[in-house]
Amino acid sequence: MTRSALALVLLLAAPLFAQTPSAPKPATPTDLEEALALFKANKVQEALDKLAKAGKTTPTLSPPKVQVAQWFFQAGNGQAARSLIEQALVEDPKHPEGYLLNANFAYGEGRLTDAVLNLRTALDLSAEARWDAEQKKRFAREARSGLIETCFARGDYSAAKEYALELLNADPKNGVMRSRLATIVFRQDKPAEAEKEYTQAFADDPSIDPPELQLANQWQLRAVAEPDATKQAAHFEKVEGWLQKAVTAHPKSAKLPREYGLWLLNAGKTDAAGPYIEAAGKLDPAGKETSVARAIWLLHKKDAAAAEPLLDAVYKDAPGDLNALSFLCLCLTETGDEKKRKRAAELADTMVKQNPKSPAGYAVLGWCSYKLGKADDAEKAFSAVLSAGQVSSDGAFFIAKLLADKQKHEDAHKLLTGALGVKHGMFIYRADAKTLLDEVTKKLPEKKEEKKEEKKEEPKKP
Amino acid sequence: MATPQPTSPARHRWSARRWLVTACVLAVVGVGIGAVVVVVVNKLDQRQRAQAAVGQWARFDKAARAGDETEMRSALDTISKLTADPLCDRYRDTLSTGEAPPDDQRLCLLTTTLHARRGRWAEAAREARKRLVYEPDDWISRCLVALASLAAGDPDTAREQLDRLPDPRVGGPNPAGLLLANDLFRRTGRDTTPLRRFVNDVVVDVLNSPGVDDDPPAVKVELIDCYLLGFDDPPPARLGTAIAAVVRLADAAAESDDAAVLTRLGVSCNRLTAAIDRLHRAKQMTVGQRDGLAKEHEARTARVWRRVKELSPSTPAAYHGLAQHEVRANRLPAAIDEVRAGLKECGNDTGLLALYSLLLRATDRTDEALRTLAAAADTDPTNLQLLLLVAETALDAPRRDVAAIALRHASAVAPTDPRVIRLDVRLKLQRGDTHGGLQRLRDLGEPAILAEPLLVRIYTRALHDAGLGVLLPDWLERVGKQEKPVVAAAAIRGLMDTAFDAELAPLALKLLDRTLARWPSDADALAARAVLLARWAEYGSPRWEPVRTRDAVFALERVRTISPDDADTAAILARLRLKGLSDQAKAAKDIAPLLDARDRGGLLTGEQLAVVGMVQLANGQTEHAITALEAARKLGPPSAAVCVHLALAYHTRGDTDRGRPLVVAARRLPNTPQDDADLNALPATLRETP
Repeated sequence: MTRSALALVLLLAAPLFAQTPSAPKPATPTDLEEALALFKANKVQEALDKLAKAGKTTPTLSPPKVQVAQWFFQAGNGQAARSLIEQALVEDPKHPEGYLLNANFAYGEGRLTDAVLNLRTALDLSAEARWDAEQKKRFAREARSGLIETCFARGDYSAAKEYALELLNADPKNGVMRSRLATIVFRQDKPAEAEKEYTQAFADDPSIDPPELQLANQWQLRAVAEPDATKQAAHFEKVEGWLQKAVTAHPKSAKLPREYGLWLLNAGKTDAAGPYIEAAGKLDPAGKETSVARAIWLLHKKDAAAAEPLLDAVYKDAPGDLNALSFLCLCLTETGDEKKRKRAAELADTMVKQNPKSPAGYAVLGWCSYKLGKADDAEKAFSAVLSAGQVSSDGAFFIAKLLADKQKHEDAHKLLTGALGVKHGMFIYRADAKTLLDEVTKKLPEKKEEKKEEKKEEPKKP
Repeated sequence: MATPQPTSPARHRWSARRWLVTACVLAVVGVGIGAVVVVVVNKLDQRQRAQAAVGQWARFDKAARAGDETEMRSALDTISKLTADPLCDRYRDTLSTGEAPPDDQRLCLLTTTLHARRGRWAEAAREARKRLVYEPDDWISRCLVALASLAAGDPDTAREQLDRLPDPRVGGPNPAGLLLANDLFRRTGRDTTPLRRFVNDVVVDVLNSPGVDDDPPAVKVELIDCYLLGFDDPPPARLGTAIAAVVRLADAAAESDDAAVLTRLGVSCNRLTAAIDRLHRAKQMTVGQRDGLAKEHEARTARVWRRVKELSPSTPAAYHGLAQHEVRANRLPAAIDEVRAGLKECGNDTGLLALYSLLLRATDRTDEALRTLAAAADTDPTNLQLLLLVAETALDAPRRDVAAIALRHASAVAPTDPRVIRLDVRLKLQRGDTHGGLQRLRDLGEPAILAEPLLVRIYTRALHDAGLGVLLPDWLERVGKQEKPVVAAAAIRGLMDTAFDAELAPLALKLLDRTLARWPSDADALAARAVLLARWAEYGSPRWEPVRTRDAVFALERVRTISPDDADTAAILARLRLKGLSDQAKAAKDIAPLLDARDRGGLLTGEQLAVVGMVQLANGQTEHAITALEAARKLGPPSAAVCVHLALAYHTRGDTDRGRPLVVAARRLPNTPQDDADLNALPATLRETP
């Protein structure tokens, strides 16, 4: 839920910035395409020339250097992108698009003040007389969108709200923007006002998430960030309340029971999640996300055999979905079939290679190796998890299991206590972790006593 | 004068010998006579002892029938003194151990009965099994084994035993056996028709025979109860022919001085009151006969309960019975006084408290009821019945805070009791926490839900209300596979408790039709089907579609033939006829059972009173309609239909100003399509905002 909510924020943010240079423009697509082909062929100067030529016939095109900078940025060459954008700004310091793209770079690198300054400049320049009405509108909209996100990220919700209201004044039926306003208002600790805005946003644009789910997501974010346990519990109650309202109010939507079912699983309520996951399955029998959710529920119920075909089908349709792949690996590992365990380890290895920065992938690889009896390989993978510093609850269990095997009960105890202390979150092996913790705890005092005895015995030794 | 002859010595010897012989003969005769006398006297004594022993055996038998073990032992001791009957020791041993020798059928019957009388069902079943080896058709033994199995939580064995019961006409159960079988049939969801048929075919003749006058009072009461069994169906004509005999039996039993027998009689008399009404409605007696009989019977019933109160002042049933008598006479304050007196004498009896709560709620004094109940619960915090009563009354008040506390205590006492869960879920639903209610039910597991029709009903409703209606088709499928028709009926009732769902209606109807194909005369399924069709007729599209409406009327009429007194059926049928078919004349006839019930002091719900008012208004009985509708409004829940019809009633009486605010109130309440139609049909002057 936390991850999905964060992803939601980023997804909302992405189009606002991404559309900046490549927003709908009256340029001939062939010119742009040709320029892009030249760029891809490493003919940067030819691409710039092509764009400059096209710009003469289509003045609404982005300045050539801004466009190419964007391509460099997308290709991962930030240095070249920044160099070009500086040149572009020197050549035409009154063009807002350069500042917009510069803000985009700054935002991506976490330089929020730089982003704000660039965006404000772009907003000011958008009013220049040289721009026609449509261009003015577009530059202003993009600058304000960027300012909303940047101010939001800085925690300056008043400013973010102001910019959002300015945008909504121009486009009052923009559901996405009103939804963003609702989120800002929520952050200002005005949930009732936020509810009103979310409701209006959903009425204006039914393709966005219903207000109940949006509010549940906001309360979830607040709950996760809340250090006080009592307050956190109260926030979680609100999350559940809103998720329940969402399911009740939108009985035809598969997403809502699926989200609530997953939330219940994360709360350790496997049985309670059942009807919601089933309802989602009935409403969206072929949906990928529903299949994954059902498989996760089955994994919680220790029914890997039933989960396997669901995840296998998802893997065949979308082999790039690493999240689903990680569950498939766990699933294959738990089936008890040696061949499947080997396949799980192979898949986990591929997954780690595809995303070598993900500690979750290493945790799964380690577990698959462990189940294959390759303790050394498992340990290697688990060290990668520990060095990344981000250990999921299941990951903690996997590592603890290995540690317990190696009689490192205290370390295992520490890991398990930490994992089980997390109030809410995905934890497929919760029950196993509890059992292991009990076992490990029983062995702890013995060990201490043994140590004490050893100490006592030591002086006796000559 | 003759000269005496000298006596010869031989002659003298002979003479002397003659005397000796004579003396000997006389002695022998004397001894013989003496012996004969002794023998005769002895024989006479033996005969007397044997006769006395027979009398003592009869005393034993009588004591055995009454279950008086002390008397039985005393009789055995006397028999032992009179005769050296080895049976005495055998009987005495059996009484001491409670176990009869397996080969002695008479003793097996004795021990079975003794254990059964004391509620020792396992022991009774053990002894009954011995008897069944030789007498496999023994009705009471079979029933006792079934009862013990049920008590041990083994309904399958109980059903198996009941399957092996002979035809009652062959098995010839005694009254107690018949009543026990009826109870077992109901508890195992078995069709009681064969038993009712037996009442009609056999018991009616027994009642009309002179032999019943000699039965002890307890048996007379059992016979009355057997007679009442026949009333589960529309009363067949033969039942009417025995009512005089039954009344005579009740009179005779009322002479008893046994408080326990009189208590049972009082309960039977309460039921007999309704039976007399049914016979009248089935045209088996005239109005005059009914009135005379009812008046006489009411006096008898009150007499019986008063006598119970005299003999055993701490018997709660006496106050309960007298309160019901007052309710039937429409004297609610007197009924409340009776219950108060009972609570004073008997302490916090849960049954009396339940009646007290009901009476106070009916007189709009729910808070007072709640205070009394809460105080009682404080003194007895582990009394589950009481805690449930507090919770239920609090939910009606509505005082959810009090209900929550009571339920918390109840959960601590019996966390998995279906009644606790049902009320807890009801509380959650009242609070709008449908999902919480659903999860509470799911904690029990589906088999536990399916085993309890009440839980099936609320689970079905909760699934729908929680937005998980998509799961209902599968759920109804699983419900349909249950072996009890009442489960299917409960599921459909659950659907009817929530907003009408046109998509689910055909599915629900299919389930009920499938259920009725297996159990064609099941009253619950028939009633659920009728209600479903009525809802479909009103809320389906188009509203009051003629074929659907007619189907609903037929279904409800069928239910009415089975349960003519059922107030809900009467109300739904009347509403359907009035709104769906615009037939106010027939609707007026439909509400007759509601009016009868009200006249007898029965308590109608707000919805039933609303229908009475609507029908009376449509039939020009404006004043009656106003009374009924005002009562409906007072009882709640708030209803647009009540406001609209009350407004119209006031308008008809010429009091339009009083009606207008009601129209405004109706507009603010949730309106059904029919309410909208009724609002639009109001006269313009009434619809104008004041």
